[in-house]
Amino acid sequence: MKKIAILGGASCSGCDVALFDLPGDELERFFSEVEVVFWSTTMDSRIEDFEAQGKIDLVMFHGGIRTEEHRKLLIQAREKAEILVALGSCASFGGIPGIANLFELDVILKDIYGDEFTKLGGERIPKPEERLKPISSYVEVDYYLPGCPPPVETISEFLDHFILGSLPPRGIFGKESTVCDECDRIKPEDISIEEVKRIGSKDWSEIDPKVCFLAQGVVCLGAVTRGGCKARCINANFPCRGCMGPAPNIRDQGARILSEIASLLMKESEKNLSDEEIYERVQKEIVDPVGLFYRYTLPHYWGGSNEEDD
Amino acid sequence: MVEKSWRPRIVAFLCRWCGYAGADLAGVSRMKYPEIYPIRVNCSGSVHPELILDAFRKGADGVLICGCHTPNDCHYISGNYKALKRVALVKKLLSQLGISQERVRLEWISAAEGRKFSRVVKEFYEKIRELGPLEVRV
Repeated sequence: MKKIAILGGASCSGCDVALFDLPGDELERFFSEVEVVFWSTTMDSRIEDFEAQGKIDLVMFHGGIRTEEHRKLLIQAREKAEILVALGSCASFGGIPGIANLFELDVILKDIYGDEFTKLGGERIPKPEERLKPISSYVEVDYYLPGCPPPVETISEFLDHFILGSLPPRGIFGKESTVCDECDRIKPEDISIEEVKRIGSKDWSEIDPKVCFLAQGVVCLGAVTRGGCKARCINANFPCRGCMGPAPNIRDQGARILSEIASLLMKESEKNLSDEEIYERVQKEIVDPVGLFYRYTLPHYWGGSNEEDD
Repeated sequence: MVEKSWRPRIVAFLCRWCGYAGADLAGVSRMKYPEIYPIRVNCSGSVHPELILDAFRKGADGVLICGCHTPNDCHYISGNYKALKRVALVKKLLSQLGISQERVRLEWISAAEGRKFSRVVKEFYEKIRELGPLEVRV
């Protein structure tokens, strides 16, 4: 019987809980065909149980690396794993916790623990790393299953391939498409955004669920984001925030969508405005470029793991 | 304090119709300006934010973009406006990442403005010298 371990770092554990989105019979079949040796979210597993294991056929790691403990656990996981999977966007790109990289570590610790931290001498929490990084910064990763959480269809397909021993070549396990490909909304040929509409703003209820978000002045990352999620957020009338990471052939997801949004802003009125007016209005309309465009990928693109690729 | 011998690395994206022609005029007129790494592009609107960010990731200390004057000089009608709006957002992004906005400069330089090109490069070079070598902190 093949052995599986599921463990994580800086994670909300949403990714492994997403496994329970599998239909009942599939979940049952999964548990009857593999032996889960470690899964601290759902089982009474202790770290000693994991350390006692020899080789494990599949290790799924969720969450980025925030503390020394995460790092040691990850390195152990790599040593034991035949196949190591980055489960979810945090493990793959750093994820939302990665936005903390905008601040220095001592500022973050002070913000969370106040003076407690200095009083305790930091003894009661694991030693934090300077920067949160995706797992690929430390070890070689065999497969990436991006998404926040990864779509249950992708997890199911991956586990099927694993059980049958028919996994594709290593790399990102996902669809070769964009979210726009999977979105059914009507997309007009020409789009100009005069004013950015923010989520939950007063006139949010006027958003037409059948028309492209961009055409209605809402920033949506669907065009640069990998598909596979069946546009689940968009179908819930919420714009894409890019959790699946860059679409195929897109090098820098954040810069690419920044470029697209910038081009659409004031497209109709630009020739009637002065340079200074355009400059000011563009900066005013997009309040938080990093949080908007690099929401899930900041550690991947800045100080992360992609420095060696050209 | 930056060493006196330190020379900033400035990547200059010059549009072929105006910025590059202006730089050419400065050259044939024997006007002097500090060293830059000029890259000829078809339009300032084709200078993708990825290129600007990549330049910084790979060791540039400043990025200069020269395009055609607004409103109507752009050979491709509205490429210069694209450049303007992208630079506005990239600057905001950079300042969030702890990189000074002044490390990016966008200028409109026509084919007749060799003198302006030489002045802009001089000013920008001095500015970057003042700011010192770029350290990406994030």
